[in-house]
Amino acid sequence: MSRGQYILRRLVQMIPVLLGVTIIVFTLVHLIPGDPAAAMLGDKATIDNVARLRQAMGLDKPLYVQYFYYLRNLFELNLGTSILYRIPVASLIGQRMVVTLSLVACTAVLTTIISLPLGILAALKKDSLLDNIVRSSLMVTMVMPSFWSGIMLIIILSIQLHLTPVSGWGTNPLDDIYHLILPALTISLGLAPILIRSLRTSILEALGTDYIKTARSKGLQERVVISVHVLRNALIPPVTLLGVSIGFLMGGAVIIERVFALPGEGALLIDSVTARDYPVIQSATLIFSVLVILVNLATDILYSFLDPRVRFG
Amino acid sequence: MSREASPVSAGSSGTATTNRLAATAATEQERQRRRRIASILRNRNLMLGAGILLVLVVVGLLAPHLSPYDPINPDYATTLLSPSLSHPFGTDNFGRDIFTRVLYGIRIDLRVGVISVIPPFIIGLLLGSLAAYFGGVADTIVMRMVDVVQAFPFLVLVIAIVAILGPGLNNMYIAVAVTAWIVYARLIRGEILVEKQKEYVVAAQAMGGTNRRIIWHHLLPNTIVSSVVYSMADIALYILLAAGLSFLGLGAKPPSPEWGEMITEGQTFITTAWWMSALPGLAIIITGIALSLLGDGLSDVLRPGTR
Repeated sequence: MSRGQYILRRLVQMIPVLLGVTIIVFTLVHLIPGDPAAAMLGDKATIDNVARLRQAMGLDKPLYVQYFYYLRNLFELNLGTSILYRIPVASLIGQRMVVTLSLVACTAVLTTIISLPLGILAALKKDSLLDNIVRSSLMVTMVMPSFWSGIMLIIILSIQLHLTPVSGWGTNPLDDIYHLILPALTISLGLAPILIRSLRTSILEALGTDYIKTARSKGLQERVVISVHVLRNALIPPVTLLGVSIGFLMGGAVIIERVFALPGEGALLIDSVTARDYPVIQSATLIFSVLVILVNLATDILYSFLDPRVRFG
Repeated sequence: MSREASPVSAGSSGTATTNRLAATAATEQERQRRRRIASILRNRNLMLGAGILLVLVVVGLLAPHLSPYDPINPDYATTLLSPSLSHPFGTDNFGRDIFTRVLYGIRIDLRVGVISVIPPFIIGLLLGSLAAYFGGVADTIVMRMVDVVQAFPFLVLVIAIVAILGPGLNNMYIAVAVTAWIVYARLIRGEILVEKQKEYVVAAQAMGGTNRRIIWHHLLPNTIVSSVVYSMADIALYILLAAGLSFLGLGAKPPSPEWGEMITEGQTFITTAWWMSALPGLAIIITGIALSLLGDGLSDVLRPGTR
C-alpha cells in the first residue's frame, strides 16, 4: 500500500468517527432536563415563545428528521444563531478560534524549546543531578492543577518580577504573543516533563544501538553522532507524543483561557455554559473534537514521513 | 471386620499423609503469604503513598477536633492575615482559617475522587470484557464507541455534559461515567484478548464452563490488576477535574471548602494575599503524589516483573 492509499484510508476511517461525534453533540441538547426550548428562553419562556422556538428548532419533528436537518445544516456550515450574542455561531467561533489556535501553537513551540535541550542533557548525563530533577519533576507536574500553576506564575512573574502581563489579549500580533507567553508557559509546565521523559528514553535507546557504535568507530565527532544519528531517530516518539498531546492541550486551553482572561474558544464555551447558550455549547464542543480528529490525522501522516518503517498495511 | 479395619487403617494412614501434605501445603502457603507481606512492607512507594493517604483520611475525619476554627462562617476580625503560628496557612477574605478549610476539604476532594472512579471502572470492565471475550459485533460496537468518545478532549466533553445537566459535583459523576469508561474498556479488552488464548481458559471452555463463569471466575481475576493500578492515578485525575470544574464555576460552590474552589477565591487577591491560592494547591499536589506512589507501589507488588 502506498502512502497516498494509506492517507486515503485514514480519511475514510474518519467518517464513522465524525458521524458518531455529530450524534453525541446532537444528543447533548436533547439531554437538557425538561423542554430545551423553554430552557433556552429562560425568563422569556411564554407559551407562545416556546412553541415558536420549538418549531424553529424543529423540535416538533421526529428525532431522526431533526438529526438529518442538523447534519444538513452542518454541511452548509450553518451552526445556528447564538442566543447570547445574537450573531451566527460560525462567525463567533471563527473569531475565537484565532486566539485558541495561537495559544496551542505558542505552547507547542515553547514546549519544544524547553523539552529538547533538557531531554538531551538528561539522557547524555544519565543519573546526574539534572537527570534526577527532570525525572522526579514529572511526579509533581502530573498532579498540579493547571489553573493553580497559572496563578502561581502570575504571582511570581507578573506581580513580583513585572516580566509579563497579568492577563488579557494584545492589541497587535506582537503584543498578542507577549500576552501568550505566560499561558503557554503554564501549559508547558504540565506538558514538557512528559515529552522530556519520552525523549530521554528514546535517546538512551538509540545510544545503545549498533549503528551508533559504527558511527563512533568511524571516528565521527560526538557532536555529529548525537545531532545526526541519535536525534534523528530518537525524535520520532516525542513528535508523535506531542501530536497526541495537542488534544490534551485543547482541553487544557479551556481552563487556561479562563485564568488569563484570553478571549478564546474555551472561554466562549464557558461563557455560553453560564448563559445557557446551547447552540454555542453544541458547536464549540463539536469544533473541539473535529480539531482533535484532524490533529490526530496530521500526526499519523507526519509519522509515516518520519519513520519510513511504518507499514501502511 | 477386616474389611472394615483395612479401610479404616488405610483411611487413617491416608489421613495422616493428607494431614502431612496439608501441613506442608499450609506452611508453604504461610511462607508465601509472609513473603508477600514482606514484599509489600519493603515497597517504599506503596508504604509512603498509603501512609500519606492514611494520614490525610484520619486528619480529614478528625478535622473538627484538630482545629478550633469554623471552616464556613466568616470572622471579619481576622481577614486576610498572612501565615502565622495561630493561622499556619493564613486567613481568607472572610477571615476564615485556610488550614482549617484545607483539612475539611480532604473530606470533599478525596471523596469526589474515589466516587468518580467507580462508575467508569465498572462500565469499562463490563464493556471491555464483553468486547474482548465475544469479539465480532460486540467488539466492533464497543470499540467504535471508544473511538467516538476519544475524539473529544476529555475536559470539553465533561464540561458540555455538566453544562446540559446543570453545574455541581453530582453531575460531574455522571459526566465522568459517560466519558472515562473508555480507558478501562481498552485496558481490560487488551488484557483479556491475550488471556483468553491461554490453556486454562480453553480448558474451562472445553469442560463446558458458562461464558459468565469463565469471564467472572477465570478472566477477570487474572486481568483486573492493571485497571486497579490505573484507577489510583485516575483518582488523582478526578480530584484535579473537580478542582478545575469548581474553578470554571461548574463544580463546588462557595462557601464549600473544596480545594479548587479555595484556589479560585484566592485569584481575586493574588496581589495582596498569595497564600489564599497557593496553599490549597499544595494539598492537591500532596494528595496526587500520594496516589501516584500508591499506584506505582501496587503495580510493583501485584505485577512483579513488569517494571
